[in-house]
Amino acid sequence: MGVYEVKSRKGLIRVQCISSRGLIRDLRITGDFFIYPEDSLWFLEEKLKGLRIRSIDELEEFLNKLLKSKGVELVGSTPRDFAEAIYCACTNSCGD
Amino acid sequence: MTRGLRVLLFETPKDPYYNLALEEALFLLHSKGIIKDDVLRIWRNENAVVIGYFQSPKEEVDLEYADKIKASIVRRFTGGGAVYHDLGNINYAVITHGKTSTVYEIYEYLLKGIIKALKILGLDPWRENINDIVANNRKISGTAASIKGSTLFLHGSLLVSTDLEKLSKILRVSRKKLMDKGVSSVKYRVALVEDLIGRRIGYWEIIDAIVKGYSGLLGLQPYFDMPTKLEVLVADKLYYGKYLKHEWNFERKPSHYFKDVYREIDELLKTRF
Repeated sequence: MGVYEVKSRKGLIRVQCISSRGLIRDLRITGDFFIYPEDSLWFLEEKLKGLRIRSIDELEEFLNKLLKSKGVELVGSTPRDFAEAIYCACTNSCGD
Repeated sequence: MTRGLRVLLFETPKDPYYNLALEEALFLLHSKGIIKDDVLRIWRNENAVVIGYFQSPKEEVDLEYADKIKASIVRRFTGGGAVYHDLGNINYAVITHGKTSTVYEIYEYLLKGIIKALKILGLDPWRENINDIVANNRKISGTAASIKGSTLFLHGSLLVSTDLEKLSKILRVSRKKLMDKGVSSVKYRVALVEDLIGRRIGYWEIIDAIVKGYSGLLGLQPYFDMPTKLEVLVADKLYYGKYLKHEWNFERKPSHYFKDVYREIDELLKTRF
């Protein structure tokens, strides 16, 4: 299992990820960030499970679309922050 | 029509689970139009860590130390970080109507009330990093907002005379966060209102300042009140069905996991109206 933390402007985003053959099998996002509506965090996690990980850019694009379509607001963090944390946790390729 | 600002000082300091259950009950009932007036609630916990909705207790809390000093660990329904509550920490919650389209605007708007309150106490505070209250470059209050329909909700904790040694021992702070803040320990970034003012402040002095701050901001006459029977019944449902549960406090289960509780509340509301 990979773990990675990204410090956004407001809050820490911590991702724990289990991946195999480039696919996200399971993941959990914790931290002191702000996302609205709050329960969209679990929706996000569900949508990420099964996704193929290619790059931070592609993940950011995926999150951007998802958040926009659901009217989700991040306060003090960006889709890029989440993309980076997810990518690094799932690929174990960002060092510390 | 709004009659005024309903001020609730009801608190259960020895039962932080109930304090948080009532907090959600008030927000819920306001969003359903059952509570019509704006609400300002001021309350305390005696010895608890309150963690944010998306946090994991074992990442945020020194569980061994919490056990040693018998501090409870309770999750709240809003995002943000973990806070240590003792009687020197005053919590305030504001519930009002608004037309804001973003939560960011709730912070901009509703933090003005606590800033007014702290000015009355003689400080020169400002809002920093979206939703922190800072004075003399030290954080004295952290806040978290939520929104349900047209109901805006903000709550915050104010460090008046909290035991900072316990605070810094019980809260774990990630290395990345410390690097970002450039400080060596959590206790150097926060300060106590009493230390900044340089004297002891009584409970009623704080209450008076917060009430003036928010009644001034909202333009409403404050009146003191108690929770109604219905509010207590709804809080009871949330207390037994959610806030006392391990799944809520420790497993980061979402609110919709507790759908039975919300269904029971809806049924209760139906039978009473």
